[in-house]
This record gives sequence, C-alpha cells and structure tokens, in this order.
Amino acid sequence: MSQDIRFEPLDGHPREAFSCKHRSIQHFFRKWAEENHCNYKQRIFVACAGDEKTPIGFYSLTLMTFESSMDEKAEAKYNDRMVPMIYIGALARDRELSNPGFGQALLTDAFERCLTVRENVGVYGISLHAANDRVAEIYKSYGFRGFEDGQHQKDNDGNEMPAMFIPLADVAEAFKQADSAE
Amino acid sequence: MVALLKEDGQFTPMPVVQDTQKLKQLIETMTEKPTAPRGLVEAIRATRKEYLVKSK
Repeated sequence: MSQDIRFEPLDGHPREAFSCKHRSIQHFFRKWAEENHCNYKQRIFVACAGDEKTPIGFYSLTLMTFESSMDEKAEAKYNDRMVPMIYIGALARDRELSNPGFGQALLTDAFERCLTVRENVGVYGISLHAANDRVAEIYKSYGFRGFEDGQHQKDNDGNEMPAMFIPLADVAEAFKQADSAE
Repeated sequence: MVALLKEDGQFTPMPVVQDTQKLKQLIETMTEKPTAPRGLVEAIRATRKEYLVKSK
C-alpha cells in the first residue's frame, strides 16, 4: 500500500526536531528557512506524511544565471550569452526516517516543480552543490553532470562540494518515459 | 560558483555566476538531443509506486 505524502510550501511547520546528516542543512532548515521563504530569497517546500504537520523532508529552490567572466580570456562569442537556471539550495530527509530512499521522492517533486517553472518563466536546467563526492555519485545516477572546471568548493570540514547541473529537457524526457511505461 | 549554504546554515544568494567555462559547458549541452537518464526514470517510477503524492 502506498504511503500518503504531502508536498507544500513552508508555512509554520515545526522544524526544531528536524535532524539530518549535514549540519549546515539542518541549521538552515531549523533557523533560516522560514525567513528565506517569506522574503522570497528562496522558496522552501516541505514533505509531510499523512495528516502530520512535522516535515520529514524538504527542498529549497532559487534562481541563478550563468554568464561569461569579465576577464579578457572570455571568448567573444560567449560575451552576450546568459543561461538561467534553478538552483537547489538544499534537499534533505529527516535522518530518523526509516526509508533511506525518500530522497528520490523529494527529488522527483522538486523536478516536477522545476518543470512547471520552466513552462512559465524560461529556465534551462537545474544546478546544485552536492554535499560531498559520495552524494555527487548519487546525483550522477539521476543524470546530473559535474561542471568540468575541476573547482570543488570545500565546506568547513574540508569535504569537497562538487557543483553539478542537469538540463531540464533531460528531466522532461525522463518523466515522459516514466509515464509511457505506466 | 561557490556553495551558498554556510556552516551556520545561512544562505547567501548568488543570482549571477560569472564563469565562462561553466557557461560554455551549459551552452554545449543545448545542442544535444534530450535523453532520459535511466536512474531518474527508475526513481520516478519507484516514487510513484511507493508514495501517493499530493503536491501544492
């Protein structure tokens, strides 16, 4: 039997007990998420089971545009190009959740929402920073690609945080294929 | 492009990333034929099988 899950915008959901593997994400959700959501710095969407109000997971979305560097090395043909993207600021499930695969439900809902944005606003893809190389491998299995410049941001514990992206055309194609087989 | 979530959980928005190499990589993918990543298709199907999702 399927489990009922609600995805909805953050709106006073209790978050004090939310716990996840990554300290910065946990702090963000507990302390800053509501403020960020309300002032539209990002939009936060929570997942709740059944009629519960306490979130078991969440993700955050904002916009980001890629353009060329200001230095002389930039090839002229890229000077006037800009690529608008959606940036996933954070995506996490509660560590107490018995099903470790819930992350893909979070990602699926985030992707569906991004496809709706794409039809209404015009964005090319989704970008994010994976929390570390192991998480990056998981994102790769869903079709994300690493940016090839070899620059990895490090968190305060020295973990690499690879920057990644996926074209929304690939995401749309995946939903089409998933639908066609059902 | 730096990670936008700081250790204390504060989020620093970066609306514009000025990086020719990343821009070039993104633009190059625009000419590719869209393909459905197999892992993503399986994830979508597994989610639909396991959860009855209502999203607003």
